Amino acid sequence: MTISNQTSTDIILETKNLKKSFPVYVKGVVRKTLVGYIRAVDDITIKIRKGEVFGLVGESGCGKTTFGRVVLNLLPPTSGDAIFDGQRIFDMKDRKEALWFRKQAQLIFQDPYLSLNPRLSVSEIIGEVFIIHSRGMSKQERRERVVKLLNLCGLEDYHALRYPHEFSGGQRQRIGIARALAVEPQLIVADEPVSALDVAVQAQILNLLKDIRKRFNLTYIFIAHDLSVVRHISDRIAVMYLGKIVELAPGEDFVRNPRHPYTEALISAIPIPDPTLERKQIILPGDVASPLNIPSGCRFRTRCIYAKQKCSEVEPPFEEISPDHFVACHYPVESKLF
Amino acid sequence: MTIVEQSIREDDIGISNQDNDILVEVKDLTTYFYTEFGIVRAVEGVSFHIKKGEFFGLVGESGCGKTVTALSCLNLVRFPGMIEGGQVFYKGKDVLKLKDKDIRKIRGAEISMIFQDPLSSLNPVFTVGEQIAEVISLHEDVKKDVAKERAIKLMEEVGIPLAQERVDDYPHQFSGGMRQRVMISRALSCNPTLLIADEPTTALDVTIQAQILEIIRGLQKKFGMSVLLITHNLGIIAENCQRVGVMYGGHIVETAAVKTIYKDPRHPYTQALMAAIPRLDLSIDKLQTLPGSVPDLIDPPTGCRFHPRCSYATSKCAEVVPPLKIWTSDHEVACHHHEEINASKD
Repeated sequence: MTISNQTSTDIILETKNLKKSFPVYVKGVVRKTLVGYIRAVDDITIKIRKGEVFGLVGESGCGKTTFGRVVLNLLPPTSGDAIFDGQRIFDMKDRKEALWFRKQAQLIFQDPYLSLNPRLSVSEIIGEVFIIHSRGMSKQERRERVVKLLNLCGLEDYHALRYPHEFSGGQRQRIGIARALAVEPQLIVADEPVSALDVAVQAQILNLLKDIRKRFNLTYIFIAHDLSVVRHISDRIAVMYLGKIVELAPGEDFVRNPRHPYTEALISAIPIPDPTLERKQIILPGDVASPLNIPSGCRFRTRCIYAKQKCSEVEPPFEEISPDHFVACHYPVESKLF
Repeated sequence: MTIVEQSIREDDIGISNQDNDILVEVKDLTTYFYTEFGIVRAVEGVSFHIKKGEFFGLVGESGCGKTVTALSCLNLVRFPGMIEGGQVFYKGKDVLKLKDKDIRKIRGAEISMIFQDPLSSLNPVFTVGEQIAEVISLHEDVKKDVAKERAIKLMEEVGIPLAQERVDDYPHQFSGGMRQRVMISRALSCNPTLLIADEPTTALDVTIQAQILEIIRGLQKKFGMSVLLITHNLGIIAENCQRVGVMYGGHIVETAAVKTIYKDPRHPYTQALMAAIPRLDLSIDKLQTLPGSVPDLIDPPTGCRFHPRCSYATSKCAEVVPPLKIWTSDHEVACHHHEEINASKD
């Protein structure tokens, strides 16, 4: 009992003051002039637990994809640190260490049409993983492993010889999942894995992701803009707004009892397929502020219906206001939306 | 304001249809696309009606023929598409039989349309004010400055801040949500009796989606127009529409009042669709899935197009196309076996 308890609270990935900004230039005739920085990820400190599904939601441009890429060391951070299984991932310089980390953490992409090389067959796409990570594996064994992975993801043996264009969107996403599983990773960052799919196919892929997670005891960082999807699969949900996580809570608590005004509005804006459900709808005024010019104090205050003087002066800290429920707001709301 | 006065005038005219409540009636609409790979049977035998002042939804997965249905209603299907048969009655007249000159008077004035991607439906080299005013001067004999004044009023109506200044801006200077507002104000410029909104919020973030839908709802109430809303999102249908048609593979499989269909979906496809969506308000362990994939409309399944994926299918389903039959007063189902399937429920 104690052992399982301990492993469930084990931290697999921890970020400390993680920042990533992109310079923005205006091209002139002679030279480029720097006009500012887009702070895509702005000081994020979180802990992701072993075996959990960590859902990350937010509107387009909030930095959720950048966050996913930075914690996989696919984009160098501007500052801050990320620790995976006790190792500082941004310090890995040599190939051996980098390969080790790739084996631990994998990515599933949004667009199953762009993330597979059209010139390679499925067996080559997945087999490539073994050529890189398991050198010396025989061709025969490689083939067997590929077929096993395909079957695991709901595809047939004969699919191995086909090319990406011969598959439907859902099947391609299955190939992407099989490829990510090939290295037997501990962590998978799934970046909008179902947004390009129709509902019926989306349901298949969500079920598949749930199944393999249970089977291999995986940890997911599940990034999506659709809160219903995130809520369906996640244990904990975090919302990002203009580069910052503004609220983090366990799924049920998050949906039933949002404390940040942005979360409250986000939840109330999601159409629910039940015409008899009566609920409060909060319509946020205006658009998201430009990430080039983030408002002072609380970055949400320009759209917040509860904003007060203090919100424009002091940036609210990201604090635990009830057990396991973190919010960055000076005046957390008490909201019951359902 | 001019807008209100005109919409009252429209209502006084009345319609020559036998049922005075019905604004648009689509009967047996069939549209094919003649491609090099074969004939795509995109829409086949589609019938539905929209009442005056009604918010009607058309829902289905991508490629099921929702958009083609809407375009056919305005006779806007382009080569290689052809409307093969059927009628679209608008105020008693068959739109598909009208001359180009006459249908142009309806398009944009009485029936207007907004699209999924507002950036590609706005002309990048004209200011938004010019584009809204263009529609007004096309349909009404007004001076340029009057048209521009009206454009500003319309922009205010849909909640574009500082409309007076922004009227001379170009589409690229607007955000996605603001562009869709421009599109809506353009569609509203001649007080349409029917607004066709084809996935109007799919390209937008949820908080902006909520804004846009609120605007459409508000305008619909204010001006009493009918709305045909096309979407793949069952949540949007539930929160906005009064009646809904469910499409699958170019056929309408079920139409009903929204309150009825969510409580008692009769067609196996509607049932499957509803069981496949993750819910924000409920925690579901496993979503139901459908075997197979959407039909290829070049070579669609015979009989009921859903039968290869349907767990209740019999040999009859593979042979006979089930007609859309009335089940209760406001509920039509196109399924041979829906009574047996739902026997336990009834």
